[in-house]
Amino acid sequence: MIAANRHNTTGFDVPDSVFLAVDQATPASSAAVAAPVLRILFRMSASLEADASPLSAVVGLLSGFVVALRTGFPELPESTRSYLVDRVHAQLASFGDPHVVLALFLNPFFALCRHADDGALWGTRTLAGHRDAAIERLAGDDVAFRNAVIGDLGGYITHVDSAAGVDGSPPHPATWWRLYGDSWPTLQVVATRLLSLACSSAGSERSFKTLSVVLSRTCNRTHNAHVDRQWSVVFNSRQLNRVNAVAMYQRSRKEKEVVGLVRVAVAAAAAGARAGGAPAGGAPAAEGDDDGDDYDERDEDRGSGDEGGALEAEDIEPGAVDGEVNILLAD
Amino acid sequence: MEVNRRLRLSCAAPGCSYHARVANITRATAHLLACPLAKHTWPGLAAALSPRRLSDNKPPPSYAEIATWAEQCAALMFQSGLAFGTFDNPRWRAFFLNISGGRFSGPGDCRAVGGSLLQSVFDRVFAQVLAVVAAHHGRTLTCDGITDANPRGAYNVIACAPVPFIMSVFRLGVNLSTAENLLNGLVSSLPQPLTEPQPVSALLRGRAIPSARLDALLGSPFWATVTDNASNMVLMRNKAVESGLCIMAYGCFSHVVNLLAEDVSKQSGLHLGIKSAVTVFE
Repeated sequence: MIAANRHNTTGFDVPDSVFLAVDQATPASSAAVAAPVLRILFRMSASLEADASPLSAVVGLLSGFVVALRTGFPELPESTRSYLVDRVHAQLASFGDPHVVLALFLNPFFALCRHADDGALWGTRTLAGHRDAAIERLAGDDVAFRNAVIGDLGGYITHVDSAAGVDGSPPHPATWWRLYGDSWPTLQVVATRLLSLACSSAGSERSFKTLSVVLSRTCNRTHNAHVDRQWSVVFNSRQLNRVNAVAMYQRSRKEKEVVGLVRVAVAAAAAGARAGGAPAGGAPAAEGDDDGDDYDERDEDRGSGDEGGALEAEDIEPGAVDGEVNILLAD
Repeated sequence: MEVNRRLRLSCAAPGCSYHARVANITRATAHLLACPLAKHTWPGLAAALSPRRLSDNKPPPSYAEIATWAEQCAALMFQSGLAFGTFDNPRWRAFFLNISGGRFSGPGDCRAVGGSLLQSVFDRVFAQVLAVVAAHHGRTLTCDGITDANPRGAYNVIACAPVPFIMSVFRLGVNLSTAENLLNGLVSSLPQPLTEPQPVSALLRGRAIPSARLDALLGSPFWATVTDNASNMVLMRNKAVESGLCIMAYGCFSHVVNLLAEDVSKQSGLHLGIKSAVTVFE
């Protein structure tokens, strides 16, 4: 096609370097390998860019992505998959904050995702370690407040694990806490605010589109002060028509798929652990946690991993993990 | 008609030799209203060209009503991205007079639209925005920069509640975009109520245990600062936490996912394919 050079009727010689580049790159095969992974990432990005996307979605989705890399994508070499898992951990370590992990613990929808990543998700700490660090930061020197938050968190996790998470289409997690969080009053105050925080700066990026309406190449002599006011009026007027974003929030299909994937992976790991008599990869973090902190001990006492989960190994049909991955990769 | 490659407006009434030296619609209209030959030729012309008279049943609008109409019209202009002087010409004024029965001639000239009307619309919208943002607990602050069409740098300051609203825009001018300058610009451009600790009521605290630390958290102007991952922005958001403007700071996770996508394309060799495709099309 390149040699035919139908772009130009008079024609010109295609340089050899172009043929060489195309031959070396083999774009068709590399696109076929990378497309499923990229599709997931782009869907995740779109989900995170929603205005009302809760902060908990960050670690929830990325945990699901890690599970998908470990259990799916057979066309990707093993070295590439492990490299990508390491990159997820590195990116989170660079740009994250322990409060983001605490938000994951506070979202009942992602209850299973906190068991999904057995290793250190961020640097040398486990998810539980980051959760504890976040509570320490929030509480500061106030021991009574810290103890109240820890007590509430233990009660909340017990409740959610015994209910096996939240299925279907639950409301925005901040709304869930307002509706059902009365039993944990101190944590409720923190959770409703933490889960309302934005997880991306997509709002800033979107506002730049509006600037291009106000100030363009053909209309560029307006004074800065006038540009700023008109920019603010245009953008804010539109946003005022949709202030009820949390109430209108609907969980994205991608989040549901990720949780379904994690659910199967966690249950399969639990089944493997039972069959082999030893913990398998992907076992719940709390089971093997050696942080030594008191509420991890409580988690362990409660058997927060497989005892509370509704899914049993027998519930999973052979090949179910691959099936879930295929669902994730579809369209 | 065209004379010496320039458009001229001439009176088409038989026997009239009027032609305007420049293509001026207003002067041509004034001639048609005064020209006896035109009136004789087209009897309904004067009624068609004159602004419609007010109905006897409707009282003339008050100045306050006309000001309200002008502000509404200007607000629609701003929201549509129209230039301030869009309706500042005789045709549009005649059109507005025609459809309003001679009651409203448009929002005014470009100075009025870009001056007092822009300020009043901005004040009205911003008051609503402040009310929404102040009522939301757990606000996020985001800041990002852009080079505009001129090209000059501008930084927007967005409060997410959780719907994003522009709180302010600041420019650094000749100053370097260091973390200190960015934070100073950000804090100084924010409205005063959003830079100070908020009062905490018992209703806000709910049934939580009484705690000075919890009150400090609830009273914090912002809970989080989110920026992209440029080094100056990372430093700025960490300084924002140190200064007490917010409780926590983290990077934009949409950017993180994009970086992961870049890693995937590099690992799979797809980026070589993309580069070669660009080479072919260039």
